[in-house]
Amino acid sequence: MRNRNNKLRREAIARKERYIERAIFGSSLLSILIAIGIFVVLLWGSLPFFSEVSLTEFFGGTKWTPLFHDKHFGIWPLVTGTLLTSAVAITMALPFSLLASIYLSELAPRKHRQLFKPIIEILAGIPTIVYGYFALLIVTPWLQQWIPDLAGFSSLSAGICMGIMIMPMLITLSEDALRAVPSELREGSYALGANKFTTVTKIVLPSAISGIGSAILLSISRALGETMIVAIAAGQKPNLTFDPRESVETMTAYIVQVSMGDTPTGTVEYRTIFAVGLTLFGLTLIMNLCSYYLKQKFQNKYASL
Amino acid sequence: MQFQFLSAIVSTNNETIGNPMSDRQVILRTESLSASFENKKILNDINLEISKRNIMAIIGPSGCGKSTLLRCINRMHELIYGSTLSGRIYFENKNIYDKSVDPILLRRRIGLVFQKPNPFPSMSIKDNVLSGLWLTQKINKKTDSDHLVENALQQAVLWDEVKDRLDDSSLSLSGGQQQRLCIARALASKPDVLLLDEPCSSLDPIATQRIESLLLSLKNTYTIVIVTHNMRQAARISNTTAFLLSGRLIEYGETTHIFTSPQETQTEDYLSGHFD
Ligand SMILES: Nc1ncnc2c1ncn2[C@@H]1O[C@H](COP(=O)(O)OP(=O)(O)O)[C@@H](O)[C@H]1O
Ligand SMILES: [Mg+2]
Repeated sequence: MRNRNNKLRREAIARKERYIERAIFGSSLLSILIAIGIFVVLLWGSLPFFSEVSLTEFFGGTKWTPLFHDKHFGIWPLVTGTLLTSAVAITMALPFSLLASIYLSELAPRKHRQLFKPIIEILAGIPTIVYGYFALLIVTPWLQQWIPDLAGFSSLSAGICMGIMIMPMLITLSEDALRAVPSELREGSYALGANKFTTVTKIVLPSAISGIGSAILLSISRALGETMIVAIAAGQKPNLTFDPRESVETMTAYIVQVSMGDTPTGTVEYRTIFAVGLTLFGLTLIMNLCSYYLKQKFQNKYASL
Repeated sequence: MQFQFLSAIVSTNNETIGNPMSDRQVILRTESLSASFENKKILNDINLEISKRNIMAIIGPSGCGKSTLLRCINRMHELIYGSTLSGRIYFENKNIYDKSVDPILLRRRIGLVFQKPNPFPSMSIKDNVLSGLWLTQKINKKTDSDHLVENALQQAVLWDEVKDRLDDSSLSLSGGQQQRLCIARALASKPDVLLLDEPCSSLDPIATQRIESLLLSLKNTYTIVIVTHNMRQAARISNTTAFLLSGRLIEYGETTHIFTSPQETQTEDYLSGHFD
């Protein structure tokens, strides 16, 4: 009797576990399906566009004027605009974030860490529209005192604020990469008579390099897709330039411009947003895949330790 | 029966040793050494002498504080958050816990090989051997150091296995090879004292045997302190043995004496329980 009860109970638990497993599997499947869905929608929307505009024009052209009378569909000005703002952002964020993550992971006394971590997390919670206005109303005028020919909208100003925006993410991910370096390696270094500075620069950093690389790529990917800051502060002028003082338009800002404007749906200018979206999707996907690859490499390295 | 087996090992070993302990110069001496983590006392009033050019084995059950003792000797203990220490350790008659002693310089003279092999994964085999010299700015990347590498790897009995792939990643080596690489790394820095924390615990018998013969061959140049779980190993290679139990030094002396006629019943009980 007792045995049978036990058996029933065990079966009930097993059944419950199966449901939970299925639910977890279902939700991960759902997120994969959503990603595929987005891709399919973008592709579907782009197909009619590419039947009107050739791939060579789209990927080879250097002029982007779909909303003008004289239409050109060369994506490059949007790509360089996107890359330039992201480059400014990562250049701005990387030194600070790297130093901060080294400080938090290797140097900070516990008390300081407990103080700084929440502050960084608050920074991560600021809505990006705030950064956008901060760039436009504070950073740009301030920069203009030093750089007289800085445009009212510029990739420099937007990039700097985007850099501040991605810093929390970059700090956190780099700190994770540094912390993932086994303490045995630090101890090995100290036992050889190395000091703290050498241990950090010659052992810990090189050992975490692929993890940090992965963090950088993810942050760039985040910057590439950032919309609000660049839409507000970088301008809306497709501009094939590498001069950060000039006004540019990023892919995201262009999509905002079209979807919020009065472009009639079904026209070729409206369909550009799918093609641009697909390009952006591809760009971030490449970044994320590289980041994933580096991360795998990083983890495999320490699997044996 | 097993006791006799061990005595046999000890006596053959002892013939090769020659000098009795009393003739030897003391290089390291701990005085009322106590160490703790947070408020948990790990080592309690340890008074131990270690002679120069000698192999001392430290034995005792798991968790009795053997690793902690080694880490106190090269001032690694203080690197752990919440650790405290009291007492003195004299290295060549100078207290290493004196304010004037730089722990970084001390560690260059007292090397430590860890229980778990920890080669630097960001470096090649060759660079691992040179890492101690490189990390302490004794050499730079341009220094011609091939002979240093070969020397250290020969000493660690690893040369023949890796001489054709010195630029490979250190992680391409097996566990036993990694441990010998860590020993080579420690040797390349030319310390006076080599501390080894159960260096063979994760190795197969062949690698273990290699490391033992390595240690025996180093005995005339270095002072070696080895923590070991393996009583036979202690008997085979050490001249002196120290027995720790629950953070106390129960006794220490010539290995022959400790193994054949221990003074303390605790030592005797431990040894008779560990002849397996
Ligand atoms: N980092 C640490 N923090 C707190 N307690 C520790 C730490 N390392 C070791 N201990 C404790 O110290 C005691 C002695 O450890 P250890 O010296 O490693 O022993 P053994 O090497 O003889 O096995 C153990 O009880 C262990 O739990
Ligand atoms: Mg131990």
